[in-house]
Amino acid sequence: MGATEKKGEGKADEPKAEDEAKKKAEAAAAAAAATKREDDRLLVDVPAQVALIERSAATKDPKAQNRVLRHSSAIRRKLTAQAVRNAIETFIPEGHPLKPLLATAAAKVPEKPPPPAAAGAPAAAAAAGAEMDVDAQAAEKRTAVCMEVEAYICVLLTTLLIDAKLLDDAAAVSSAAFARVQATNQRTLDAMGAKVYFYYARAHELGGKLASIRSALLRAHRTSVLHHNGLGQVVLLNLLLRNYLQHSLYDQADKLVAKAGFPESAPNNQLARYLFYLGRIKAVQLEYSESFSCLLQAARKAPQRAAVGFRLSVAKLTTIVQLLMGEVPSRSALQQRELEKPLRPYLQIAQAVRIGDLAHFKHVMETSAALFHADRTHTLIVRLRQNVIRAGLRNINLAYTRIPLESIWHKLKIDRLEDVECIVAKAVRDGVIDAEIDHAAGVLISKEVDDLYATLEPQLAFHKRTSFCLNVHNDAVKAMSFPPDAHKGDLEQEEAKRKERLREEAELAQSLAEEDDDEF
Amino acid sequence: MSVAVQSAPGLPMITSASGMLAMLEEEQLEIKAYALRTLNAVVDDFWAEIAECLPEIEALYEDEAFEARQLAALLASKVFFQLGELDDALTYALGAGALFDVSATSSEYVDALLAKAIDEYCVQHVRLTDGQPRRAADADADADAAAGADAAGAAVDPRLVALVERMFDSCFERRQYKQALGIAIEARRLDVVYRAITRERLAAVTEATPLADIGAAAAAAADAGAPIESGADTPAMLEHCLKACGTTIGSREFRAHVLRLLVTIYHRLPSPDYLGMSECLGQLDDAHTVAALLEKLMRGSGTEFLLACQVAFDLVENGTQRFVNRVTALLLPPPAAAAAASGADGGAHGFGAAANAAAAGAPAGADDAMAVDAAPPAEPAATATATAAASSSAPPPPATAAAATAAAAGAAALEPASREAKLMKILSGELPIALHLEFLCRNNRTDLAILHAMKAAVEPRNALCHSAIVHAHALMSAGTTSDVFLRDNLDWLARATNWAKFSATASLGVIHRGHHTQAMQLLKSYLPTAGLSASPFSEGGALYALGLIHANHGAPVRSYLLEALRNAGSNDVVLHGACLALGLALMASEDAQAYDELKAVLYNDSAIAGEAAALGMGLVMAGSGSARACEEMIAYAHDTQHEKIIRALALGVAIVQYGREGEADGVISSLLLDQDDILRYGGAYALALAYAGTSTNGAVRRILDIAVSDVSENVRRAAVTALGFVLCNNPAQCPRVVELLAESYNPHVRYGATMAVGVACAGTGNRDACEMLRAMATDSVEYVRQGALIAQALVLIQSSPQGPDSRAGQLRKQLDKAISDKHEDAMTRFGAILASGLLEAGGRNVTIQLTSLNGHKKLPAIVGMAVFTNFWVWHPLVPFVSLALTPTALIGLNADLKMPKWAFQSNAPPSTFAYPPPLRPEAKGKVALVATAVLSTSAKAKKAERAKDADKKQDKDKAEKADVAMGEAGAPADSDKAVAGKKAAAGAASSADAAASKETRVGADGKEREPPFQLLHNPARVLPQQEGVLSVVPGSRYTPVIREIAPRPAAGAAGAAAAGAAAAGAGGSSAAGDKLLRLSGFVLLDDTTPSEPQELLEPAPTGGASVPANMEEPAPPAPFEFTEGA
Repeated sequence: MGATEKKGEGKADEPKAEDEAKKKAEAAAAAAAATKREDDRLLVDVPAQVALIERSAATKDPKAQNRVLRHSSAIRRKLTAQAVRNAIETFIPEGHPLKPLLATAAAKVPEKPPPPAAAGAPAAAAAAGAEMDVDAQAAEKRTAVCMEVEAYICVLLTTLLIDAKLLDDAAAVSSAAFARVQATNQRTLDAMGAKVYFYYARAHELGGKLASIRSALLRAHRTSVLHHNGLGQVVLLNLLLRNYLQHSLYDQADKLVAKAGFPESAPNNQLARYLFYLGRIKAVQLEYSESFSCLLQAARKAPQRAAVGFRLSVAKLTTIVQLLMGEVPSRSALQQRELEKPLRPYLQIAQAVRIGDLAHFKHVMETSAALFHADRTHTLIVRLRQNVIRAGLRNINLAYTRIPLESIWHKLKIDRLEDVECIVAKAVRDGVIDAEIDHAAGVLISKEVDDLYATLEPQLAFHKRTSFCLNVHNDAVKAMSFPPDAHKGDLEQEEAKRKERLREEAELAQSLAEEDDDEF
Repeated sequence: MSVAVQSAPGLPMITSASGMLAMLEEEQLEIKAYALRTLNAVVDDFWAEIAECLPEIEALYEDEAFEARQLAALLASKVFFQLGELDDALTYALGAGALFDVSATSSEYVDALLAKAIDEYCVQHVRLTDGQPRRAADADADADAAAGADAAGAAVDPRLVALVERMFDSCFERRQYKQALGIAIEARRLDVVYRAITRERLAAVTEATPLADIGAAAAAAADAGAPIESGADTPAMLEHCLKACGTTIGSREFRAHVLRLLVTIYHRLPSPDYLGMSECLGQLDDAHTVAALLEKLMRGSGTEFLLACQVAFDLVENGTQRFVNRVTALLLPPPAAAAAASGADGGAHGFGAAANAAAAGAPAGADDAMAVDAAPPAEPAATATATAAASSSAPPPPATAAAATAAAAGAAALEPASREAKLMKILSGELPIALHLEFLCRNNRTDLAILHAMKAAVEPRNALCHSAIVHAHALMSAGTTSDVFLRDNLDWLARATNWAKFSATASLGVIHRGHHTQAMQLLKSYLPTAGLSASPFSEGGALYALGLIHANHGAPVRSYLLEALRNAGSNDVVLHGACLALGLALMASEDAQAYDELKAVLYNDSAIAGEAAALGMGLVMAGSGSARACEEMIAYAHDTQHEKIIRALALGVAIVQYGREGEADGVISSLLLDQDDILRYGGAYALALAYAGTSTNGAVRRILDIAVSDVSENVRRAAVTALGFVLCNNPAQCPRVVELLAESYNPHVRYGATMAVGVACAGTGNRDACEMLRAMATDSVEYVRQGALIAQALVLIQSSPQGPDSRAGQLRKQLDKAISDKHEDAMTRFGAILASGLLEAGGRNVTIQLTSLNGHKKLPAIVGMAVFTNFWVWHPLVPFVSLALTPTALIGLNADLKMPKWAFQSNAPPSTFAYPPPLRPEAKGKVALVATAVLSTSAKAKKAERAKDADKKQDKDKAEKADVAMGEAGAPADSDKAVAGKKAAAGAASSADAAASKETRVGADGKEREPPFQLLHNPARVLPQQEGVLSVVPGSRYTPVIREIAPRPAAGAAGAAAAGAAAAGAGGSSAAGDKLLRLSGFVLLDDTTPSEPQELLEPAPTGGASVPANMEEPAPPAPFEFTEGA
């Protein structure tokens, strides 16, 4: 899997959430301004984040924690080693088992040079840093730390170490945090715990030690299931699948998917990821149509504007799987705005398959082999060779009523003449072409083409689309939820309504009485 | 592949288990066993793969010939565990035998399976124990066989038993007794309960031994064994277990077994906990043991006698009338009773209750109607004897120490008799009721301005509102004996006619509730007299009032009421009153004669009289669960044509089933399945009362089912109301349960929801409940608004704070608006007026409590509440709510059962728990003396004044009554008095001075500051929410008898310590003082210096006909000058 893809995946959930935040901001401008100010403050102020997390843990209300997590990618960009060091100093009490480890690891991180974009404001940054120092000194040292804050600081430090390419330290810190989180059974830790799991796997993956953590992930997954920790369960399952796929253990991954359930309440981003992995597994196992539907779902569940890397990976795989199914992907799908350039080799493959040009296909294969290997789509693309030949056959079938096999050999540039008959026979049997072979003469005789519109085919296609639309509608309805107690208005409102109702009743009674009078 | 297999256990680098799985297909058994071993090592990583081959592994386990079949079972179990199928995992884990290692280092697999095993065991063992009594009880041959088969089928898997036994053992090894106790209770293992509490194993008891046998074995062990060493935390475990009995044990039968076991263990403690014991025995309905217990305590030391009194008070408060009567009878064989009656002269004095002497004999069966008449003249005589004769254990005030010892020696001979008499006075209810009456009279804070305002707001012709105001007044003055308002407004009152007159007369009973001594005299002009026939409505009402006065303590009027019933002839209204009165007075007494006479009235088939008779029958047999009574009542309900009678009978049956839980299921089902909706209505009430205060899930589910599915609106309303009763021990839960019902389209269901919340959260001030009800008070249907208002009043009664901005204050405004709004519906206004009455009930000194302090259900309160909710069909039932009113009092009593002057500390600002401010202070000039915040500067001025005459020791009774909140100025002043006798006044005064000047410094900032605590004087109003902040003033002379006995410093040192502590307390530290263990109700006080004269409180005069409104107002506090910075 390419570097771009990894990066995209790493961010798949945060940008999505940010996206949502943006939408909300549009809805209520004034509120958004206030939130924005606070968010800006949040981005530089680790103690503020910690305070939010503590409040959230104390009140068992996940909202504040989610807010911190939502900004984690932005925070990661602006994070300084000094801030993390201060946080460790302030919030992790003396004598805490992780303190020495964290402190030494944090000490290794060199201070980032001020980013060129913010060159104008180095003084301000320094001032902020100084201010933070003052804060850290002013805030009295804590004697105890809640698990959520501890996990959060570990996550911050791990990202910092990863960014500074200190992968061994990152692995050590994340392993320690992983062990502590796994040993704690409290539901307020779920969200933060999931983050710890993720960076644990990430640090080891970058360090090339993925295989060694497989057992640990499996155990953590079991623990999550037993503790009804849905989020942890989903994240760990995805990490495990990624782990297996990275080592091409498709069979193991498939069995794990079959035996381990996927909780319904999973967040969209995790679901999208899960579906993507599932699509890959199915594709390798030749179940193309299932794979295709999984990938389609994944693309749909993924964030629509952000997470480019993830969408790119999905689009690449979707293209190949669709080609393998014998369909031709739409040009528009391959020419989306930010995806067009990276997808160009795939577009060429698709064109080769469509026209059945084996030579062109070979050419693209050779020129872009490195990319395909990196994308881990190479094995699948190799399988496409058959499809190229079939597409060629179909063209021939349409063009000629009778053609010698030898000509086919020439036209399609198949390696050996003896193979041609077998390939053609297979194509006939699979229903790719409607024809028969005259063995004696060595010719292929095409049959009359039926009128497609006389068959059930259009109806079936139509039904397929209808049911798809209905499903989308149903899902949308199911996904809707009303805020609790929304139907209960204000007391004053109720009172006003009651008055109104009484008045109407009185009027009605009066008018009825008048009608009665009129009658007599 | 073989390489992979060889490296499997050590290295994690293998990527598939397929090689090992393939070996399972081999022919050779060794290879299979080897495969299983290697698989077992890697199952955590490859379970998904191994799961594919589960059938083969299972087959290997089932192959009896295969050696490693247990290994196969273990492997299968682990795979099932990973698959999340714990049932299968447990089955195979049990099959794995010793390979399933419980004591291994804890892994999730073992933990999860152990939890599962315990759950499974609990379910199976409960089924087993449920089978036992059925087998023993059923005489029917076929039923017996069926039950036997059942039990045989339910026998617990021995492997499971072994596993759980191992668990218990390891629990005990690790000293996790509470955990073991919890599991034992869940699984109904009585022997393990015993072991967890006492740390002793019961010999010859196995897992399958019937519960009764285990109890017997425990008793035998108790007889043989030595007392349990005091080092163990047995008392704490006992308390824990007792709490669990009330909250977690759902089966009444098993609870009885556990309670019996607890009593056995209590006996073996080195210092037995008699209160705990009597509580258990009360729940078990075991009068014999309670009597023996009291007998023993009575003969014991002084402290033990105090304990006996405390036990007796608890019995009267929590027990049913029948139970208390039985205890009394056992305690006092007839000849002794006579002796007690003669000796009672010595014991009975004070409180103007000379009738006590006669009353002491009353429970023994003496006919005592005459005693009441004898009372007033005896009064001065009694006081005289009290001073003259040194017959009591404590000498009168002027006696010297020498005289006291002499008197004590002289009293020794008389002691047992006088002690018995005192105990009798408590058990007969005489004393508790008199004390409560005393408290309510003394602290009466009825704000008549509210009534006047209501009277003015309601148009005179509106009979509904008129009678509502009469009811409201009765509730406001309930138990205070102050009927000034009625006397002042006789003309207005005369507008009540017919049944309104009945209710108005009955309201006298509410006002004079507990005024036993003068009941007859008060009602003389209304009661039926031979020859003279006044209005039957007032006669009936007066009888009803008599019943209300003597509710639940009917011995004094029993014969009178029976006579009245016989004399009433065919007058329905008088009969109605007499029947209700009889039911009230003899509530839960199971009096056969009364029951039969009521039945005779019922069989006359007159709608009005029959209705009351049916209700009366239910009340007399309340909580007995009597099958005969239920059969008769249901049978007659089917016979009669009168709906009124059917409804009352249904309700009566429900009352009979009070607290029977599971035993009542048969009757409840037959009622609920009846075609007649009125009987189904009774069924809903039966569910409510049978499971009242249990929060049983089964009952709640059943009620919810009826509430949404019955076709009759009445039944649905009753069912929703029933929820409140079932959940009344768990008030916080109720609003959530009825939340959806409160939004029902059906107004009857909504009304039921208001009542449910009102009943369950009564007196709690629960926030959710208030918010919900507040929203419902604007409902579109008038009676839902009515219900919401009444329920709000129930919830907010005596909640704190009561200021104008509090929830209670807002409700007052809302009620005021509803009452004065001419366009508001009459129904709603009726509710609003009633709600005002409830909110201010009992002179603002009572609350509504359906359960006692320790979580015991109170029969009179719950039954009274249930009947009250029926005012929907019959307004004269409103006064029944007075049965649920409990004074919010803390009354301290000394060994003579009299109230000494004693103060304790409430560590909260006085305004937190103050009375609500009066409506219009200038309207009548009657200022309810609210606790005023005392300026620290003025406090200092007061202090200076007080320090001057500290040694004069003048009578400050009135002044003290006035300043409920003296704050910090009060504390030192009071400790002054306490220490004065010890000649340490100078030291204390100086330290108090220091404290006061310190306070002044703080106050000099110019801010008005409220003192952080206040002193409360015996008898004091203590709100339920206030109980958490009470403490004993350090160094006070009296200490509550129920508290951990800490080593006390010697008397001399105590004075100095007290002075120091008082100074610390005055300095603002609220931590000073011991925590009070018993926080409301009656507290028996131990006198630390018995040789000194005691200061006792003078009895307060009671109101009523014989004492025409001469209640003097307490004098206002002495004027003082505000001198800043002086």
